[in-house]
Amino acid sequence: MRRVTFDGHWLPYLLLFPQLLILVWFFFWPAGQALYQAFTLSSPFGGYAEWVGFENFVDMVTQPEYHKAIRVTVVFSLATTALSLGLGLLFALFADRVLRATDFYRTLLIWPYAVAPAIAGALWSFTLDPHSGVVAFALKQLFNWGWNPELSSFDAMVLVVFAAAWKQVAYNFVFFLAGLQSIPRAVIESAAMDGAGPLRRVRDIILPLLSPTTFFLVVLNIVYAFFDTFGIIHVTTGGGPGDATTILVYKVFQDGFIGLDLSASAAQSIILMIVVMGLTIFQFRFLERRVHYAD
Amino acid sequence: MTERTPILDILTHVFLILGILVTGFPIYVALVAATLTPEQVNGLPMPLFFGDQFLVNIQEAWSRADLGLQLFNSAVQAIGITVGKVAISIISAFAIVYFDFRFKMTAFWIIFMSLMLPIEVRIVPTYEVAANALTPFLWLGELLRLDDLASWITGEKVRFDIKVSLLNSYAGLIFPLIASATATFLFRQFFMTIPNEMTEAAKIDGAGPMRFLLDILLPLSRTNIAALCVILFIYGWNQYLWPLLVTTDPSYSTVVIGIAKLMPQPEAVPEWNLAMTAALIAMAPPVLVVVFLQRLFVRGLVESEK
Amino acid sequence: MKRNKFWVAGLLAAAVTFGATDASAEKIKINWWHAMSGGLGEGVDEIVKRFNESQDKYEVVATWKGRYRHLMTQTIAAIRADEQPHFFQNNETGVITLMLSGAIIPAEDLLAKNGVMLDKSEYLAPVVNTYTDPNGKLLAMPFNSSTPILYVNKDLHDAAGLGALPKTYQEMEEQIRKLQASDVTVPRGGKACGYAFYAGMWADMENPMAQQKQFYASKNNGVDGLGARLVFDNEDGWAFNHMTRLKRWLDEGLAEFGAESQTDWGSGALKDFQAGNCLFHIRSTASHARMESNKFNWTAAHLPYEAGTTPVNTTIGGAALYVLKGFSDEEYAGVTEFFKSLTSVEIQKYWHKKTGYVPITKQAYNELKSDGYYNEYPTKELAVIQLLRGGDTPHPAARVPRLGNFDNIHVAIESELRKVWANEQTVKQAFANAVRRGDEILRRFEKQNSRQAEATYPMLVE
Repeated sequence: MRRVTFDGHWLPYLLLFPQLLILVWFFFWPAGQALYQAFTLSSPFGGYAEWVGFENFVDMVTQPEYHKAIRVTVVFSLATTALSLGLGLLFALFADRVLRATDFYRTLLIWPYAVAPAIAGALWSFTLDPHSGVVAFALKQLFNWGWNPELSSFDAMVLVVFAAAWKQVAYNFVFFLAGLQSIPRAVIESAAMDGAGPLRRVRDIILPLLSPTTFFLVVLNIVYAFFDTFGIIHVTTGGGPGDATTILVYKVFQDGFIGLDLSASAAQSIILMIVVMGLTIFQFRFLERRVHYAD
Repeated sequence: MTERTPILDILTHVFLILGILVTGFPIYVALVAATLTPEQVNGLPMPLFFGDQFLVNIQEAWSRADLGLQLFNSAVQAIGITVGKVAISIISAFAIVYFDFRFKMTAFWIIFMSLMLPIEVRIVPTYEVAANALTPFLWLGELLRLDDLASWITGEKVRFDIKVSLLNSYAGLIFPLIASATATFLFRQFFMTIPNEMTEAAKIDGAGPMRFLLDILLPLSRTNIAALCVILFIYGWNQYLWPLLVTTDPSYSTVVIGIAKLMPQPEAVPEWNLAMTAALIAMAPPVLVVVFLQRLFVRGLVESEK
Repeated sequence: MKRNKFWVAGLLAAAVTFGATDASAEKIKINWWHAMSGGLGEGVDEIVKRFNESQDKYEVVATWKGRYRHLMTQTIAAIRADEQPHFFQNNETGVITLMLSGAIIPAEDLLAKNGVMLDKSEYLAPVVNTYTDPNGKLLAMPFNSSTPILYVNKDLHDAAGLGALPKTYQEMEEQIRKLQASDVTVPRGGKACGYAFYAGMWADMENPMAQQKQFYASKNNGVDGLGARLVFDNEDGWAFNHMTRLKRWLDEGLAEFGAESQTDWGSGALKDFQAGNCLFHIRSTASHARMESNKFNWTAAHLPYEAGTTPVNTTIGGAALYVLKGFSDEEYAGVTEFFKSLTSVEIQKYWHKKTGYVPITKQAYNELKSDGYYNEYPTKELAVIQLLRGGDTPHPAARVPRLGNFDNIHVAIESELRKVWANEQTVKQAFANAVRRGDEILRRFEKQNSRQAEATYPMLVE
């Protein structure tokens, strides 16, 4: 569709100026620096950098720890996405049923979204602390389960997935609820009149109609799990035990900030950037299609 | 409802209430911890009923971590990010949608490329820019040998060394976090849905572009703007890694990093009661915003991410 | 940086900062970034307060910047941005990084320039040799120094009638078995846990290795060159045997593991010990302040050693104060004044009493002894005695390893060992992986720093 436009020789440039200025200044410049760092071996104190080509990249991608971080990232993102999408959908389906109480339940379910990841991590590590936390105590007393995310890779993964999904359920819930509420009642009622029970209606009508929302949420949830969970991992497990919860973005932080190897860290950032660019383009293309579809 | 299914209805409520309880559990534990004495909170197991130390803990946490000042700083940062981002996004989206100009596609791609690359992966160079905001210009100056030129003209040894530091300033807390284009895209998408007829009508009435923006586009975007503001406020308030780095002066510290100071440390008796009190205080403003501006929040979320 | 400046000012009036010198005519501000929180932070504040009140020319401003690792990162960022403090605290793992950074002024140079002659023999040798460069020059002002000791739950120990405190790991094991065979119970119910350990490299590997004269890395623990690589993985070596022993203890229920929390918020092993459930815990002498909150009677003994051997000295953990480049002579004079006050007997005694960190000068130690302080607090003397075992010339293996990016090496070793405790791999596999990862870190560090080293310390790059 062709937009009707205004004439203006300098006005559009003026209007774009602040946005572009701030992007170039605080985005492209630093990103360019990171790119340069990735191809050099430099002292963290600055002043000296030696061009090494792709050596940093080769060092990184041949490291068994890097492969492990990829596996951990995949497991973590999929588990977090599955858990938060599943629960979000379930809550939304139920909340959509109770028309009158929807607002009430929504209020009580969406607030974790507003909690900072770092604070969410603090809350959960306090609640699930293996030595004095109430949950660990109860698990031990009731099921004789020696919950210990400090030692068990599995427990640690459960902890970070749980804390990350906790924040994200609210988010998925909001989208699913909006999606559900936009499905015309008439469609569902006519299905009911045809004798389709609630479960069949969900399976045959609601889920297919929700599939664009679901698809879009999968992408966003994966991006969330890739990046925004940094604060959660930082305050709960710190990537441990034994790298069991070191996802890629956490490794960027660890190699750069604890290891003081900015070049290695930058090389990993670049790889991540490419992944994110890919995801973004993928999502954007999909999004464009969806907008047309909605029109 | 489409049919009467009392059992399913009850199940629905039971399930939702269960969900609320699980979701709220850590907050309950934190609330309880915030009302206990240090001895109680470190007891094995910690009591699960409220104590009577709530006010004492608030007072202690408040003065120890200087929460009043930090809440103020957080508010300045969150509001600054919100206002700044909304303002520059609206006008840039307006330029992209409502004008034809030569570098339109270039501008569009520059903005597009900045989507979703989190600050975490470019944090060290970003810090350097914040420490001296003129770094790019100094680099340019060096590249063009401006200092040699100046030396040649003046006949003296001259070196450009100018510095604008954003560390320990509200600008430093705000600007680098505005540098992404999500909001520009939101407004672009929204502007695209506004029918061409409105623009044409405005043009026939002789309205220029700025008149159109102020009198027609902005009023139409009112709810979108408000909704986006809610989301950006939460985003700004919850920043962690960047404020940690960019503020060294406690008088610019924000509340989310302020609570780190109250978190138990290796060689000290853990005061979880204070840490949890502060955590509750720090998360209260964004949670209240979400709860009270729920409709706007939901809208903001759905719109800004779509 | 301090060449002719040509200020292009005016354009940006309010936002421009003209270097560090504020025109305030009052006191000269000296910034100190440190990593001491809790009771230790209170100690720092008190030391600063006393200094500031003692004279009216300088004002030291101490700022807590998080734990050592974060402090180092923030300081590096600040140096790159020309926003560094006058001096900052860094722990024993960062020595070589800072030595080759080109960003510091060696403490000895600073003091000499301001007319203070430093007699290094006045300090405890393991403290000083941690921070001296290959030329024997003191790089940083030693501040908080500690060493690990064995904390004992005296109530449990007495209840089971275990007699004298253990001297060796073998005696430790024996006593744990005895305790667990007795009918003594603990607060959490059931039998006591024996040794609550966190497998911190410092407490369970580096220090015991030092006192057994076992090298951790080649080239004299890295002191003699950037080409050093890790060597502790020998299957006949002490470290291998000790980790195997810890694993056996864990399997037999004689020990319990509690991680040192990654999140800065405490240690599982310490929590278990402080809850009164465990007989032993090995930890820094600087934990004295924390132990005072125990609800049971406790005591401490020397870090255990291997039966049949004679231990030499242990090494220090803790930190020193590094002076950074970029300030005026006047400001550096202020830093010198503060360092003088810091190492005064009075402040050393205060710091030791407040925190349990050892007094770093022999004079302060001798005065504390003659004051009778250790009759009242005998456990606080253990660490000093351990450090003084090697006299003024410690064995080369009994020296803090000087390795590049040491913190990251620690992360690698600890996370490989964590998989041993969790039954995911054997000690042999863990050590092989740890050495491979550690050597890779060392190789990258060597490459990163060899040019700088050639220019400043050519003896480090053969």
